[in-house]
Amino acid sequence: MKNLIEKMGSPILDSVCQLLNQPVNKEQHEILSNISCKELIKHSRANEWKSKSFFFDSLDGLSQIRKHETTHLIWGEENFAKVLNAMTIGSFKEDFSFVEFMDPFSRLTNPCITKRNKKAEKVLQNDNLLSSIIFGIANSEMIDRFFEVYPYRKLLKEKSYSGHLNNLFFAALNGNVVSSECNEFLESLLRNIEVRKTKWLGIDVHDVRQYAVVLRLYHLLVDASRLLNDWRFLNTALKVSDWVFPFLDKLLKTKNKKSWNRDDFCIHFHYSLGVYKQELIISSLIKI
Amino acid sequence: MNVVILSPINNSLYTRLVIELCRREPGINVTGVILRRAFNWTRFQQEWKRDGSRLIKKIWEKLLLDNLETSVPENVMTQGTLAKQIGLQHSQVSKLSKAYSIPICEVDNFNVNKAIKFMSQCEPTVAVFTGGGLIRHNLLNNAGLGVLNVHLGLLPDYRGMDVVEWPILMKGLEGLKSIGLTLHYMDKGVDTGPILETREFGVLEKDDFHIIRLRLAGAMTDILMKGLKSIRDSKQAPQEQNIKAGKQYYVCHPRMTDIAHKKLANSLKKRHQN
Repeated sequence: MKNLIEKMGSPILDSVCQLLNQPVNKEQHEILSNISCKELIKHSRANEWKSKSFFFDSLDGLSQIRKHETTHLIWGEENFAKVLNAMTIGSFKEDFSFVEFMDPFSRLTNPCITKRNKKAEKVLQNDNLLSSIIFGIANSEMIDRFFEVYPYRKLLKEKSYSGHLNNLFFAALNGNVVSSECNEFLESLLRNIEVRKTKWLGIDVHDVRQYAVVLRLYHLLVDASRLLNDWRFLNTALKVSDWVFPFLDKLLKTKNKKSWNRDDFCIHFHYSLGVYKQELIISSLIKI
Repeated sequence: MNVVILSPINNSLYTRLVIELCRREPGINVTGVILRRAFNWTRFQQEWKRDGSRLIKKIWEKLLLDNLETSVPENVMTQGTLAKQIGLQHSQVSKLSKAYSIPICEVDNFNVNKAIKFMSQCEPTVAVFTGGGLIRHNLLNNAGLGVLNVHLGLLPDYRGMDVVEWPILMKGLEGLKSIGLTLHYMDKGVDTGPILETREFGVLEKDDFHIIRLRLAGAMTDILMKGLKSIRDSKQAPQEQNIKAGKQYYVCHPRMTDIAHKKLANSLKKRHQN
């Protein structure tokens, strides 16, 4: 996989190389060979995903890549100021009609963003706006503004749609924010998933976007376990993976890979990369 | 001192040991037993949600094998060996209670009105939880000083489930020092109530998690009886937990359990080499 990434076009960040350079045992090799990333990447090259930027965007769990490599437009300073000011005075009714999002994957996870490939897209609902704002901040260079938005998480806390918490979680991790408030949030996230299980994840076999959300969450849980050295997150990630895998497997098997669309690609890629990282962590965990 | 005992199933060996040992202790009277019925759909659903497929194994071991303790080294003091030592007579909580004329209340769920009313009638100084699911505040508030529980981990560090495996997973060799029992009062949180006593356990060279658990279970009655005596004699005040000092742990995924087994073996090997 390391070679494949290198072939896709360096520079690859040190952190990624470091992760991939860790030894992989025979059993893990077998798991990885079944992932067939090669096939996916070949397919992506042959079709609409030719640019390496998409590839890097897909690796969104590894936030550093985005920070240094991407040429996509993140958020303009002006938009940030506008949004943050509005949030400070508690006004969500202001018309944020034209907000740009950096990550193509966020369009999959946000059901309110329907029009792709447009420079500006309209955000229709406040909840989604809020989660998108937090997501945007997390993805930006303005991570120091994170705590200005963080208190608003309570508005989202009780929502059943996992995407909201997922975005917050991503924000917390990307900022490497370690504070009591952040820990409290991560604890409540674990509790929600562990206690309410699939009900909380809201898996709906007919909605492909929900797989994207859940897989993204899986991916992030794996990252959290590595970043925080807390194997409870890995434990929860393994469970999430188990719950979603039968549905995912069925979904992907019903389609010829040649006819995969962007959603299928993203889902498979996130799952594959999550499994890969998971196995690396497990391998190192046994040795400690 | 009046004690009410909450029992998870009719053949619970732990409950029977507690009843028997309380009866032999001067000044401690078991004034009632609240027994949870083993078979009801709600209970199955609740426990399935918590334990998943492990519930089948649990039912097999606890009900069908009648607490049979298989492949246990002779030097391990288990609940079974303790039962033999003290000459425990009856194989069911209901029969034992009847033999000692202890009132018994059979319920589907500890939190129903019938159980709460029975608890009040027994006028307990303290109640003892020997398993059987969550307890709500209505019952907790009617249990005198509170409901005592022996947690299979060291509090405040390790709250929740599978806390025998988690110290090893989190700390490896260092985690061997974090295996033990805690006697505490139950409150609305998960293992967050005030602590009466903790006891660390040494892990021996040939131990695995099965043996460690049996050894811990064997010592549960001892720490519980010590706590009851200290309450009777007004010797010891419970200490509030520092919740931030610990974490809550959840049921281990089978792969994490596998990792824990490997890490335990590695840790014991390392310790032996040192």
